[in-house]
Formats: sequence, structure tokens, C-alpha cells
Amino acid sequence: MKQDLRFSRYASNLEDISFTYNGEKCTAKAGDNLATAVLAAGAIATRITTIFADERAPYCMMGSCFECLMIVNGIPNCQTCMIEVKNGMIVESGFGKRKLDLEVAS
Amino acid sequence: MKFCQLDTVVIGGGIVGLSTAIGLLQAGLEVTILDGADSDLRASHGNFGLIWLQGKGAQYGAYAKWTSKAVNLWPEFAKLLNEETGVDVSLRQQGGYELFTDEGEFSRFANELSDQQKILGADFEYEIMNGSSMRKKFPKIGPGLVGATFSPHCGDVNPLKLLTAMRIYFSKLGGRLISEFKVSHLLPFADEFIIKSPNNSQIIANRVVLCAGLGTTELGKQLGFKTEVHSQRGQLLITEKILPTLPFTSSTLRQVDEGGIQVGGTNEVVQYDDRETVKITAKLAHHAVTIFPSLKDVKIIRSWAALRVQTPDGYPVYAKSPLHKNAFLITCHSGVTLAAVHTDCLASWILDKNNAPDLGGLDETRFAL
Repeated sequence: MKQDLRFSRYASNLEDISFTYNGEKCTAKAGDNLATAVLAAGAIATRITTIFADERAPYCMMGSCFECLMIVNGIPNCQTCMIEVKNGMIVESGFGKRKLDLEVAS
Repeated sequence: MKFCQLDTVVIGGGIVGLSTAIGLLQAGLEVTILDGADSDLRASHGNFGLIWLQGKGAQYGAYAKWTSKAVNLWPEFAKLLNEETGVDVSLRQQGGYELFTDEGEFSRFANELSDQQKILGADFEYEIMNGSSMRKKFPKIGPGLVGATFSPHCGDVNPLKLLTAMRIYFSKLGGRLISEFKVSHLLPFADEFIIKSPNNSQIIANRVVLCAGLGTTELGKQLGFKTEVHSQRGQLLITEKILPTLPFTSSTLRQVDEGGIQVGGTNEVVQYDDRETVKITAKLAHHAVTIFPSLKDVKIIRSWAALRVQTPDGYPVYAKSPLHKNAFLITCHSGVTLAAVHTDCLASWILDKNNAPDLGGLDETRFAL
């Protein structure tokens, strides 16, 4: 995915890491915030709201607005603005309501 | 000094005040609600949204019968609100469970339901199930559930949508709501009442209906009422939104129509402190995963507490002032369940109509010394 020019990096000499976002390989630097890394990788809408299916993206970047919810390593509804990106992370955009089966025996 | 003269004034714009006021408007009265500040202690903004019959008034016939009447009126009430306001309050009344993780509590409650059955007869159906028959029916229930009771009369609504719908309907019927009006003084004057706020706003009313929640005791005293209410804190959790999955509604665990699973049912007496605590919220989370172990990975996104309004014996109070004609006091902790019957019946009681319900068992003479 193309690096977006909305962000400029101040620190240098950081280790390169890679992760995937919706199956595409993206690069970031060690210590980067995950929501920021996804935005810097060029993503626009990163989730769909649960009731009205509107598109949303990270907003407050401090853990309070819940707009940055994505699926991280298979776990839905993760607040990506509160997570550090790690090498090999599998990130997907938030799809709405979580699935959970409480009815049928597993 | 501001001043105005009004016919009927309902003090309190929560679920109890609105449901009463709607009935009075339907009866043709001119009604104004005086509502307090947003920061007031509002049970109507924090409750669980149950429409519940099982256990209610098992030891007190008047309350059991009143609640039974309310749950029977609910389907029609929800339909009316939807038609008049376009707001679907998400009534689900296909029955509800009480879930028990303690044998003693389970058998005590089962006995209460048997008492309630004696009072209500054919109007009350219920079932008692042990843990293993529940697990047979709902395989994802954990081993910690010792038993459950079920009653087909119970269910739930979205309580915030209910509040919204009632506000809209109240306005549509011509009701007037004045917000940010804190009532500090209620002074009977001849056959009327002078209602004062701390900033010296003043209203004169022909009729006063007190639905002031936790403000009931202080204001009631000024009109000769004896009822004293106290607060009881309930704490709640809500999870991230999940596709419809919870196979039933229960009094401690229910899935909101919008997807979150709400956990509640605690009570503590703590005066006017409506903050949540780690100790109790942890207990709620523990209860949820005891019932459904697969909830363990589900995220809790919010917790809160709200203060219930409790009378000394826990039953509602409908009182006419012993000193002043046209002064009424209404208070209860089950404002959601009773909303349907409050809208339907209280106006005729207030106006002394022939079809007024018999509320003798629920007046305040039971608190007289």
C-alpha cells in the first residue's frame, strides 16, 4: 500500500517492521502506534459502524472515541490507537458487530 | 420575579413523571412537567429496561396484581408509542429468566414464585428449572448455573428509547416540559400551590403531582406526605456490540436490541453516590462468564451505576395528600414495568373517576406510625 504524505517522521534509525492490512503488506517502524501505521499506509475508512454501517477512521487517538476499532490478529473490535504495531501483525478493517455463538453446543 | 399560573404540574420528567403526565393529557388536562438539571440523580437514564413480573409482590397482593396489570398492558402501550412517535422501544416480551448461581437463593426465589402464584392464580405462569435442564436447553451455559426460573410474562425494552418516545408523545399531546427547573419549595396556598425554584422562579398550579424520584421525601413533606424514599445503587456493564446471540432475556444478563450484552442486578445502599466500583463490576463480569463461559473474550466497553428509588417496603406509593386536595405523590422503583399502567390508569385515580383503579393497598397509610 502506498505511503501517505499526511505524516512526516521525526525520529530516524528505527527498525523497519511489516504487517498486513486487509491482506496487503504494509511497512512501519518499531514503536509506531497501530492506528497511525494503518493511516500512514494509506487507509481511509478503517471500520463500518455497527448500527448504520457508516464508514469511520481513527479520530481521537487517545482511547476514548472508539472509532479506530479494527480486527487485530483475529480479535475483533480492538482499539488500535492504544496498540503498538508489531512485526507480522495481521490487521483487518472493523466489520461491524462481533460474531459469538451462545446457542449451539461447540 | 418570574411568575405564571398553570393547571396541572407534574414535578419530575423521568419515566414515572412522563407516563403519569401522558395519561393526564389523554384525559384532557393541561399538563406541564417541571424537570430538573441534567446532572440530577436520574434512575430513568441508567436502568436495565426490564418489563418484569416474576417475584414482584410475592408477599404483597396489591403490588403483584398492579404489576400483572402493567405487563399485560405493555404490548399495546409499545404499539401506541410506536404509532404516535415513530420510535420503536424494542419491546421483547417472550418471557424472561432469573438465573441463579446459589442454591439457597434459587430455592428461596422458587418459594416466592409459588406465593406469587397463589395471589395471581391463572394470571401468572412460571417454570422452575434446575441447572442441568437449563444446560440441556442452552448448551453454552456453564456448570456454575444451579437453576433458573422462567415466566412468559416478562421481557425488556430499550429504556433510553422508551424515554425518548414518551418525551415525544408528551409534546405531541400538547404537554409542556420546562427543564432546568429545580423545585425547592412547594407551598400550599388556598386551593392552589406555589412552586418555587432556588433562583426565585415561581409557578402557581391548581394541581401538583409529585414524581420526583429521590427528591420525593423532601418535597413530599411540604405537602403533608409521610413517604420516605431512599436510594439503592445498581451497577451495570455493557459489552461491545455482538450479532444477536443471547438466546433469552434475563434479569441479570440481556442483549440490548443494538447488540451489546448488558450485565446488571446488583444493589447497595450508598446514599447518593452513583459511581461504579471495581469490586462490584468485577462481580458482574464474573456472573456473566459463570452463566456463559464463552463471554470471557468479549470486551466490556462501558460500566456505570445509577440509583434506584426505594420506598421503605419496596412497593410503590400512590398517595393523595391528607392535607391538600389536588396534591398527589407517586413513587416506585419499577418505573419501566409500571409505565404502561401509569399511563393507562393513574389519570382516573387522580381525577377520582368511576373507573379509577383501587390503589388502597399502595397508599402511604401503611407507613403511618
